[in-house]
Amino acid sequence: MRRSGRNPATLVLPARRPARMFAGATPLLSMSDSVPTPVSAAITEVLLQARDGDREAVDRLFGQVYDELRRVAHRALRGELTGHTLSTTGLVHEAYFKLVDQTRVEWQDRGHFFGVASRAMRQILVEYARRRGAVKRGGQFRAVALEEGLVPAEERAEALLAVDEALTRLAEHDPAMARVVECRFFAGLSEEETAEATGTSLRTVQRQWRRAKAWLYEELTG
Amino acid sequence: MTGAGYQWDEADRLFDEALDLPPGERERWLDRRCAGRPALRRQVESLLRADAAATGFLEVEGRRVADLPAEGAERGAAGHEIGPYRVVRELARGGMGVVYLAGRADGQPDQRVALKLVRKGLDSDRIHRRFLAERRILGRLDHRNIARLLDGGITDDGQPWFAMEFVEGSTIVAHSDARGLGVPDRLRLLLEVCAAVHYAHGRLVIHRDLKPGNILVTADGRVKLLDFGIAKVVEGDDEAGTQNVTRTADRILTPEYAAPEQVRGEPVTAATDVYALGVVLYELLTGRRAQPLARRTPTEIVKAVLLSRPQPPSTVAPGERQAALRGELDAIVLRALEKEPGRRHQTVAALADEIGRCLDSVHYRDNPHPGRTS
Repeated sequence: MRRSGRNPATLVLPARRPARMFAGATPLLSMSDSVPTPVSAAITEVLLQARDGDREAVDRLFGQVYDELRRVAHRALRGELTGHTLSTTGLVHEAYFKLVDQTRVEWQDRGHFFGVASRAMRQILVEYARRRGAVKRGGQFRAVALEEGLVPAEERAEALLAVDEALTRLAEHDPAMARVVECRFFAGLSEEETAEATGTSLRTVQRQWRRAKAWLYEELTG
Repeated sequence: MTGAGYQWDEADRLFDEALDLPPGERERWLDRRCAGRPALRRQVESLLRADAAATGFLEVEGRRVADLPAEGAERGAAGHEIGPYRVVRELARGGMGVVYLAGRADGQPDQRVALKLVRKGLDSDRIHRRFLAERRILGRLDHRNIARLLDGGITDDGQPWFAMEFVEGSTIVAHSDARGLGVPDRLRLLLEVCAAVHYAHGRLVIHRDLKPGNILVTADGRVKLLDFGIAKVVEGDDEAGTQNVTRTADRILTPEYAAPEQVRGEPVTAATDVYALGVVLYELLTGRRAQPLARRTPTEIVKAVLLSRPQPPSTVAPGERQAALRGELDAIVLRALEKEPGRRHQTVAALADEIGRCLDSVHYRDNPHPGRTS
């Protein structure tokens, strides 16, 4: 899999892909997966408990979402051998439909799930980047490395780690702003979904995202 | 810029306001809002420049699957076991590795620990040997302001780990800013830190990696120092006998807070912690790093730490604090930050004494909150 990740052919990402649809590919998980299953019943329960501020439940939710995201990712990767790529946005949505019983939750719970999933996605991406042996080498940061396209995976991994580190510093000043970046950048959520995930207004999210981008840009390229 | 503090908050707030103005009006607006504050103005201007340049920056529709993990290779992900512990979730990441929140795997779920997994690629054999050598000494540190080291070991595939008392809190700087503490209250917090470091020095343990991130304040206001002595185990300062300054600089865990002798690869003493306390105090009082690094490259670190002299705190602090810092406090901080260890306060107790006298001085009694910002 690592080898295939380095294959230039897999570096191309369709510019903008609608969430929950994987053009040209059979969906990894059909929508019928959203009917209640034992797994989704259990995690829905945890999600509802987490809503009530049960810390234990929040921890458990994170663990389960993390595991599921990784599982879906691996299934996607096997599909990638036929030339299809998939984005983290898609993964988060798939995990949601797979794990949560839609009939029992309210929109706030969906936001909560997206928030947790964004944190898990950041961790998964960072762990992977580290395992690729990426280290921060200092020197000029190439903003382009974060964009998709024909950039070597190692360089992308390095850029990802740089963002992760800068984001940890940003969180010291302004945790809310950092959470927005987690949702937008690492999980690829839309501005609307990010507002759901952070429990704030769309306008607030847009402004926080703009401020965070300027700060990170200065921090990483300045 | 990376320094925690109200200077950042202030710059961010002004930046936020400036975004609502037509670009043509910003110049005059800045003249007014940043009058007499050139550093602040530069910061706001550079954020505005970054905003203009950052169109499209970080804008991707999710990360690609090719950036995702390969099967089964993570260590320390939720649910995984490390030594007798099971990972609950990630708490933080740093130069040294990852810190997880973990519980006992053998069914004492209440006992939560901060589990530090040392980054791969560091020399784990040597770390393990050093850990065994240091463990008894570190385990004996028993102080209300020092997070206890509970356990440690090495995983099957050779990654060293440490389990420490789990502390929930915010960094000393974030805590002080969030509560809008004035100069005297900030000094009192630092005195608590000094007391803990002094206690450890009495037991021949030097921290070596003091920084705001390792100094937490809990919700009920108690100061807790993390990672005492861990840097010695992980860093390895004397073994290679390297004379190469840039190579040493490359290995420093937290260059922004490293003392000149650490960068030079020279022996670390109590005066090294005095220096770090000076850096923390500087940041606590001014919101800025004493030695800002443009980049974390070895040459940049050498230049900043060995050659450049920090500005007196009163000249970089926000206006309302400058008067309180000018004179005595400037002198105390700059002395702690001397490049030559012999020119600093010789003990942490001596540093604490000076700070304490400063607190006692009439100036503060007459004017208890000269630096209060809110």
